Amino acid sequence: MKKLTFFLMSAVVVLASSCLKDQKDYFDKSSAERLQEVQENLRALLADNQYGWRIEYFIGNTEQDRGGKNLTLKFGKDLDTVCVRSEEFVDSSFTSHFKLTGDDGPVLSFDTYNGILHKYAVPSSSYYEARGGDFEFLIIDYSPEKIVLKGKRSGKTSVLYPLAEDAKTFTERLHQSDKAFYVSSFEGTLGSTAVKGEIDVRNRQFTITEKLDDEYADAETTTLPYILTEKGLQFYEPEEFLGTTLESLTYSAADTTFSAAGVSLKGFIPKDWRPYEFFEGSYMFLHNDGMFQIELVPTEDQESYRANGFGTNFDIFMFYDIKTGRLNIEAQFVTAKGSDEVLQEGENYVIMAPLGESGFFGLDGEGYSSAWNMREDRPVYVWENNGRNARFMSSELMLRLYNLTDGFVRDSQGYSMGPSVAKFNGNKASLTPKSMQKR
Amino acid sequence: MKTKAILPFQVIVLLVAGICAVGCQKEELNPNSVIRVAQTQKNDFDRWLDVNFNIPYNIEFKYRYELNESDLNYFTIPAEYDCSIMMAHLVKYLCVETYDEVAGITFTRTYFPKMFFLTGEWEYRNNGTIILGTAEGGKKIFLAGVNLLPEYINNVEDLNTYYIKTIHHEFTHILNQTKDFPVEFKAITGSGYVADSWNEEPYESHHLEYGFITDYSQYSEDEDFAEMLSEYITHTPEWWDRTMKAAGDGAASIMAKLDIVRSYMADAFDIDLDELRRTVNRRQQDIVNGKVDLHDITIK
Repeated sequence: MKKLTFFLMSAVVVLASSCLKDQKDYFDKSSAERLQEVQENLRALLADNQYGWRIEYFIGNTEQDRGGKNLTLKFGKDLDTVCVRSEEFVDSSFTSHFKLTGDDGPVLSFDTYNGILHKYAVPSSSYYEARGGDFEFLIIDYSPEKIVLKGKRSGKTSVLYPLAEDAKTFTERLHQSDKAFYVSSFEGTLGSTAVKGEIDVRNRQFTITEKLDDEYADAETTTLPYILTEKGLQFYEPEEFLGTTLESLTYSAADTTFSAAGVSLKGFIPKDWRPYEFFEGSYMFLHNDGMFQIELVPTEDQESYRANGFGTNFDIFMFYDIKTGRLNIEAQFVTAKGSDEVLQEGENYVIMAPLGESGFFGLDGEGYSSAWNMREDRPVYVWENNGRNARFMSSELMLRLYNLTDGFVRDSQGYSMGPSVAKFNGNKASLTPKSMQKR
Repeated sequence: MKTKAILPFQVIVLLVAGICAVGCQKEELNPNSVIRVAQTQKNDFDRWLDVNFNIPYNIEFKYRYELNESDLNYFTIPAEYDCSIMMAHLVKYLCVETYDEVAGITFTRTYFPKMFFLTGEWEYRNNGTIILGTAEGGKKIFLAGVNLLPEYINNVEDLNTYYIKTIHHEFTHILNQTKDFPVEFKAITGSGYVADSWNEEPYESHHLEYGFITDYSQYSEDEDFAEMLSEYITHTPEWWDRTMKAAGDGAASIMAKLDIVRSYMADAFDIDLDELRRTVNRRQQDIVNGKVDLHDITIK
């Protein structure tokens, strides 16, 4: 029996080995060669345009979506460098490196740090999974007119188009249209259906909801990430909602309306939006330990106010946010009274920053914004979290010494705020016009 | 014997199978390799790295991001070009050349890790701790947080806390992976290792009195050993004495462990721990005093 089994097994070996290979190649070249070819073509294509490329860069992960940003990329011909500009920071460009590599397919990787491209990919203690930014992309399709990329982390599609003008001109124009776009809600029609909705201009989310007579009924609703374009808004991907396809909307700034085939929407600016000029004058600044008088003096650029009265020897600035029509208090270098000279103690600069509950200082625009009580006769502005970072909660402003190389060093010895450090939280702090005759 | 009788038969079967297999259609192999690496162009820094790391020590210093080198459990970002240059200088001056000086270039060439990989930010864990670096398989040292280097460069304590001590710490792991340390080490504070609880109370603030040089030492005996060595050599003798005084009852355990570290380094690698400390301290001061141009990538 054993012998028989052995014999049969041997027969299998002998028979199986006499074969004729007949494999047909579907491609004339190996996958590695084809991958290499794509990489070489892409490298040439990327460096080809005189002005470089613009990219509709979409950001977001499962927890959060930030819509799209307009960036420009100028790839170097001889070195692996790329110069990046953004509609967000129009004054500066960042240069770093890129490479074309392959894993799941051809990949474009931005492989040294770039202040713009990696901004939303940087992890931190509050965002240990970063904020949805991609810097490695699969190349889905390419042609001289358009390169389609897919973010390896987020899976989001971003598209490159050749730029027809100087990158700075392009980003500046989009920066201006972004600044002028502060519609927060809208109403109108999709086809024949009445709709309403909200726009989160900071995170570029467009929420549209069916408008029903019964406000407790279940209304259809959808949220679309968007990017600003020359004409208005472009949604991340076309979506059919209530029988109408939403792809892009033309925006008219003159009458704040949005239009597209079958779409007609009227936009509204925030209810408590106040124009810049409105804030000039004197106020009582209330905080947990008392109050003091301040005077808001407009700055030349009409973008902020110098607040006199916070300290005997220094002023702070409140920044006007045109999107919300509010004043913001956020981290800043502290200047001497009536001057632009930043105060220094030795090597260290005096900085004022909101102290978060976690013990960290908010240095990235976190802080407070002035919520108006909607009364023209007795206006009161209550400071609330400005929403810049949803996880940053603060009820305290502090003066600290800041060293450009070492970061925060210690509390400032020479300066204190108001009668003491201004501590306030939510409802207890407010900015009340001192004189009711104002306006 | 039965088995012997079968043997020639097996050989015949194999031979026949072999002959049949050979009788197949001839297939030509593609002469081109299927393995392709990313094509990048060498810049000034790459050439500097060739001359200072690659050629003398066979060390590859990877400053450009490669997903496969990073830990996919974390959200990592690339290191910044200028910060990478500074970091390369620090690794060269404070680590590589330190071991050249104390133990000779052959030691460095033999044991020093063959690859460095940099990323820009720390690896943030969801329990509130961060990872500064790791060592893998005696070959690779991964350094995180390189983009934050300019914030810490002028302060020895910060520089050590975040980077340099990390390199010595990881290098110690590599030495341990080459030659294990005596088991007596573990016995000294054997019941004190608490794994992931090291950053919780009471461990986080009472580590000294429990006989551990840092809070992280309490993670495991391997980490303890690496912490002992790296803390000792990157600090001044005054700091050490002060710390031992602060440790109170814990000092005896720490000193006992230090003796094992000292004899391990002497016996296994012929390195005098105190000489190593003097050299590291002197070189650290040179960096802080600006004696080394951390941005210079001219090839000498």
